[in-house]
Amino acid sequence: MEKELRDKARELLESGQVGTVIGYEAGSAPFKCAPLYARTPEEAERLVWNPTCVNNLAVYLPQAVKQGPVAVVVKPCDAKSVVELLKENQVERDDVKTIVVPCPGVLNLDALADVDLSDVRSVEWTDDGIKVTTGSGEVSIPKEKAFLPKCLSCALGDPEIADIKLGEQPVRTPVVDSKMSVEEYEKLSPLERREFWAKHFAKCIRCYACRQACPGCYCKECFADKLGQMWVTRSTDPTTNWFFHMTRAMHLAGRCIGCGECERACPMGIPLSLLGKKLEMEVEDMFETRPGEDAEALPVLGSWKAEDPDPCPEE
Amino acid sequence: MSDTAVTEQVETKETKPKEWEPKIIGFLCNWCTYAGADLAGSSRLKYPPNMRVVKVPCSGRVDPQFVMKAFERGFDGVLVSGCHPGDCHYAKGNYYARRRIMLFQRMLQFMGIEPERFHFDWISAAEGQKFAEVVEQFTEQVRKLGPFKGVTG
Repeated sequence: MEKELRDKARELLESGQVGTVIGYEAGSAPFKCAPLYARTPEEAERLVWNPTCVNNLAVYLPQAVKQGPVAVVVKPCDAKSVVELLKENQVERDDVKTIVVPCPGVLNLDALADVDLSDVRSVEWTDDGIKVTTGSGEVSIPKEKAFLPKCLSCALGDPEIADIKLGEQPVRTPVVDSKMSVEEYEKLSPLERREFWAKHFAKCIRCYACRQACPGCYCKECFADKLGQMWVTRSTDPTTNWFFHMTRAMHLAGRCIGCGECERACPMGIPLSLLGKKLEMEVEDMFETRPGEDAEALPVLGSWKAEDPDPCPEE
Repeated sequence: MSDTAVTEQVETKETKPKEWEPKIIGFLCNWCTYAGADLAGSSRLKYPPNMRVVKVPCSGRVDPQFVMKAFERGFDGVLVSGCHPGDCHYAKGNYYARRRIMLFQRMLQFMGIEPERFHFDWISAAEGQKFAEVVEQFTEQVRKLGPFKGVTG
């Protein structure tokens, strides 16, 4: 697979179809990868595809396409971000070529909690999870533990937006219902919910890693940075943090495709994907539409229908 | 100045703390709901004085952040009201508001803000009576819930 990926990337660069191939390369440690902007065939040799390739590379597209056409390596989940960027005219269709890789699931770093990280040599896929090769042997980890939660509930096939398919997607059997965490949370009473978020937002340091990691957060001036109308102060008290996260969630309503990068990026362990998931469910329930599927569809909150749900339904 | 002219004033000043009254803020669209409120006033209809009004050009101007700011600042209840669908002065502003505000309403509930603290309605310029009734009913609804303890409290 890596050979096909590198060959394809070299071909795209040598033919001049794209100026950059955005993909993954080996990271600072064998259990991590790093994003790569390959601009020459030599740089394309560094491309990898393995369980550590967790990042959603679509986040780089709005900036990258300013230099001209770009190819980007995407998993089926990441491809949904590309669809949203196309829908919102942040990227022209002619400026992006998606290289879709077959993805069995990607690494949840928590799975390596019992492994000596300084001894890891490689992380590879097996038929039912991953194997971690260390200096002292191999450790097999089953997918329920090895993969990110979003992978365990993934039912995605080939994205429609695939320009280059490097292989068939594996047949998927979701083992977890992605709505579960929302249903669990909704057993809480209103007071318990406020306390839940109070506890989490007390930890928030407003590093904005969630915002920076999110492909949907591409605004040149974020509401959080405005000074004329100061929506949030520099303070990190729970109430101000609440305002920031609620607003960011609403700004992503109907646009968040559940890649989970926000939660992965958060250094404080705040369950941000819960907010995104809830909004995704409500948008589907109220407006019968899902983000990340149809690049020609109208943005959810930028459009309306006469038959939308109404606060006074008897009218 | 006589002694009584002074002591009368001393005796009528509040000495006991007031009982809590719900503090409600209403984002009312200029063309319909605000006019409906005006009609309620000209018709001398009685309704509770607890609501402070912010006039917006259209319900479509109502950013969820306005509502969040109100709760953040400690308002006990928030009302958003505009023209009926199909009657928007700007043709479609209220259609956008409908999607945005109804979705936001579900988000508020998700975050643990009691849903009874937020009310979204359509009140036309002719519906002075409805305006008075909605404010009456909403004020009592919020009164029953008690003071708002904060978005994370």
